[in-house]
Amino acid sequence: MSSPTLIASYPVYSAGADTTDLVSPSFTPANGEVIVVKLATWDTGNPMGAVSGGSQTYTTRVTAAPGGFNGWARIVTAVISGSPGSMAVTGAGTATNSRHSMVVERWSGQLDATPAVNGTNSGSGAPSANITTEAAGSAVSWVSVDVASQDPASKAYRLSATEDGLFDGHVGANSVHYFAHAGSGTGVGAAGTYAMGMTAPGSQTWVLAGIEIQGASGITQAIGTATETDTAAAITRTKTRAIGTAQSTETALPLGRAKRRSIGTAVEVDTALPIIGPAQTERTLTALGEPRTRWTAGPPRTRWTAREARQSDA
Amino acid sequence: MADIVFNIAKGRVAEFYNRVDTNDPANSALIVVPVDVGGTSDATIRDFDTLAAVLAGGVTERTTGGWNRKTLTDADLAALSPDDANDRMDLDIADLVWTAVTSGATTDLIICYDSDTTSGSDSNLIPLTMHDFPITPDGSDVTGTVVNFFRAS
Repeated sequence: MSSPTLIASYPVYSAGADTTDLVSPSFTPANGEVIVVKLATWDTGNPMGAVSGGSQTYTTRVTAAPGGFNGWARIVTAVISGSPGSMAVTGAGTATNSRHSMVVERWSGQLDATPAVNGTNSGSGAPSANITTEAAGSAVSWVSVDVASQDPASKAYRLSATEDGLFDGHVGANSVHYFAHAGSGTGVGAAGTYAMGMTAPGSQTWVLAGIEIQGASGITQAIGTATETDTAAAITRTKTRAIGTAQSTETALPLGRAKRRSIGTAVEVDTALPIIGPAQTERTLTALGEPRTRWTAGPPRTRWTAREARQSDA
Repeated sequence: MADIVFNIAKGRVAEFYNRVDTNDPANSALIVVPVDVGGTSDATIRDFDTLAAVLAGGVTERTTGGWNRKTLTDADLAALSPDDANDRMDLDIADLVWTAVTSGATTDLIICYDSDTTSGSDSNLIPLTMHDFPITPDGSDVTGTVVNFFRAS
């Protein structure tokens, strides 16, 4: 059997003399964890209320409420089941104004069906309360309240315990609440009787509540989480689109009359024609039956040679 | 070694869980198998598509000395519930306990889907996830604590 191990602890204190509920920070316990809730007030007749959280079942194991001028202390436990996930523990406040405090401890280990607790739960001087553990290697955890409000500066815990909470109201005599545990990971020793409490300061008026936490029997192995990351891939968008009909409205506009026109170039070809002599002209006209024109005037008559005349006639 | 999801089950684990939880089909179940993977790597194991293939691939199932398969039916599973706050899907099962285990070291647990526990064989079991589970038995009880055995995100 292995020794129990403290996983974490969470102290919570009232801000003053009030009736507020005390709520631990949120945590996510594993199934099988042992939750030890240690509660304290400065008045034995003004206890805190019920403990709740995480839909767990909480059981009161020991209460120190001797009456008279004393404080009040209680230990409540739960064993986590049902995988509560993130949860917090709430200790209901007192009925009337009170200095009160709470420490929530998480242990890997187990509780006996009827866990060992302390017998003597109040006294004067340095606190000392015996507990008889039932298994070897167990741890013990306790809370004590000193309504004599001794200065805790000299505090020394029995069993070389580790403090996991201190409500220091010694200034103003508002009580001092001590929270401690011993044997985490190692155990306090073989099954037997051990004194919980403190060796200093003395002159306390104390109440004390303590409990045994046993090591888990058997072997416990946490099973990890297999993870899968799913990614939704982007969907490619197609660009297909119906092509609409391009429409155009065409209007025949009246043509503007151009006021400019190209002016053609009048081309004049000047050809120097051979000068027809009047004789030839006269003969031609005669051949055509045209009335013979008598030239009365004309260009200076060209004097044809006989040869030229024959050629012309030909 | 690590906690892995078998390739054959990727994208399907939550739905297999849901089918068992909703009795669809009626005799479906999740089967938890304690094994010693020996020298077979995760990379090799995640490729197997059936439990039969896993066990033929160098992985040894533990069946004696207190070890056995655990069968989880609809009554053992919580209703499927997405974690909308954290945008993920977690699957949980109750802690697993083997009593007074005396022999047979394990390295892992394999969780499978069986569509019909009344018939078929290991060839019909689809491996979903595998989890580190190194145990050397000493005769005491062995407890596997589970917070969530699977998460899709």
